[in-house]
Amino acid sequence: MKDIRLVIGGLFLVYGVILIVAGVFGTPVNLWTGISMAVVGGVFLVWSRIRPI
Amino acid sequence: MRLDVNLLDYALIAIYFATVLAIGFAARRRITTSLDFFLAGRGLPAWITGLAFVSANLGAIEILGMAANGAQYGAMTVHFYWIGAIPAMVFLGIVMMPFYYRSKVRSVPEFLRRRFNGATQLLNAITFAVAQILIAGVNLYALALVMEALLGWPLPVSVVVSAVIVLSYITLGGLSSAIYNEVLQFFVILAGLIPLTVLGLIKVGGVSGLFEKVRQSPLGEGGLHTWAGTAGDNPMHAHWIGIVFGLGFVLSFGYWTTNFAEVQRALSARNTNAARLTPIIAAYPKIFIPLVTVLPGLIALVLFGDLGQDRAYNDAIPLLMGDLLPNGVLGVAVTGLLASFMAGMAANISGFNTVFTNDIWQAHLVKDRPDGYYLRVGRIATVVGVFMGVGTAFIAAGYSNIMNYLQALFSFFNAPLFATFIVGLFWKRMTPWAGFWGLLAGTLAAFTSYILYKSGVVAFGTELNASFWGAGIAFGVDVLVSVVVTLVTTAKPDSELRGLVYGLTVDLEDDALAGDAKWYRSPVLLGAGAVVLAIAMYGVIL
Repeated sequence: MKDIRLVIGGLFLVYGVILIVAGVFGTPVNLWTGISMAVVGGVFLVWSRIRPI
Repeated sequence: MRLDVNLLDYALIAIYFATVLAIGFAARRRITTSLDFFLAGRGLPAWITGLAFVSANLGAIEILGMAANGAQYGAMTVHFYWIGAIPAMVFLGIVMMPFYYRSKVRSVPEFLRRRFNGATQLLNAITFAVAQILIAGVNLYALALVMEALLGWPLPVSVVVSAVIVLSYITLGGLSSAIYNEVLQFFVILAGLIPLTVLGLIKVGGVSGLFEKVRQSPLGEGGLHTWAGTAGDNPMHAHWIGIVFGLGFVLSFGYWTTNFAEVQRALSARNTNAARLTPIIAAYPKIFIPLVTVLPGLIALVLFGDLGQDRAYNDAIPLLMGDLLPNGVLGVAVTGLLASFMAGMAANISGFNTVFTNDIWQAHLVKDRPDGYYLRVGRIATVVGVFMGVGTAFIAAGYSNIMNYLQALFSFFNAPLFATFIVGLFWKRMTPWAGFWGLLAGTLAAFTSYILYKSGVVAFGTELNASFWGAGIAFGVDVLVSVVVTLVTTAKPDSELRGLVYGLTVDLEDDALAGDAKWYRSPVLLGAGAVVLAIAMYGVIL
């Protein structure tokens, strides 16, 4: 099975990008949440790259 | 209370469930034995099983319910976390997990068979299996109610759609796909609840603004204290003795140390140390979860003046979502809520299929078949379990009161089980039949005290107080009967109890991995840290 960190990281990155786009053209809450989710997603992707199973 | 969800929100929901199903298909390729299916092949690292452990308990009923309790009882609700969970989780990891994991049992009832006898195993397996199906049905019904209120979906549609999703990913991937989804869901629900809490706090004028407004609410000053009012009058009508012994000891140790839906997560860890760390790693996020459940409950109380009168306390979180979240983050929050309902149900179903296959079918009905046969039985049990859950959900839709009673009742069924465990672990003389009769008497005592309370024969004040006392009585009866029966029946010889009771060790090969000796992988050190942190948190709001 794929590393769960890739799944979490991927999903959060996708969610983050969608929310950032929605935030740029809409409410700032989406922007801030989007940025935070993208960062969390990035951390998981980097973690699974640095210490693979 | 209908939420204004748009295409963006639905897109986020759809992406999530596509991911969940993909995990199921990916996990399926790795399932070749029944051990893979029921215990994820015992190969997961502690951080995954730890997050799954906390997440299996972070169902939506828990989230909505604790926010509701926060609005109704105020800060005292944190007792369910800091005294009602942390000590028991740490105890499970440090003291009990070595017995569970090293005896290589697949389930809690199987441990009871090894320590006591087949009758004790069967009694516990049947109570557990029935409870899991009923709770899965209640979960499903609650999910459908929320979907109907928030999104306008008809009740039967939500029930069937969510049952199909849960069914597909567990039948495909077994416990590993349930666990991976729990970890994923844990992060998504936080991504929805954190913005909700932050926006809510800003709206009420920060923490000081919130406290000021709570003082003027119906809850008053009592809503801002945890222990200060527990010798006299307080919103929960609970005395500190009831909180410490009823909630903190009997109810909480019963739930966290013997509930197989939780323990199963730790049994799937890769070695003894990871299994012991599972509940301890889970304890750290658990300490902070009230910040996104109880705190929003208090915020909802001051923002919506009619909460508890015209509108139900259970609506606290959905009301805040509709009021504070814009489309986009709203979709994430709805996804988190849906996912946590399904995670709760998946935990019930994966616990059910394991106990049914292992402890009822294989142990008592059809023995000695090849492993592939039991893997197939496990998959069929999953399908049947989900169907019975759907049936229960529709019954619940017709008789919602009965379901509430049942749920309250099961909440203290674990107390006598804990009594049997603790006496059996520390007193090797306790006999097989003492295990059976003690458990039966304790369970009946829990049942009787609840009936007496409901029919008004005994008065306990509130439902909560009744459960504290009911659990305590059940615990006492179980211990008493166990001791009496032990004195008149024959004990097992020491040779059959090695590795199952305290003081009779068994020589197993050491399964430690490189790095397990480091301080940050020490169960005792991390466990002590969690308890200290929980006590320190009480210092913040006494």
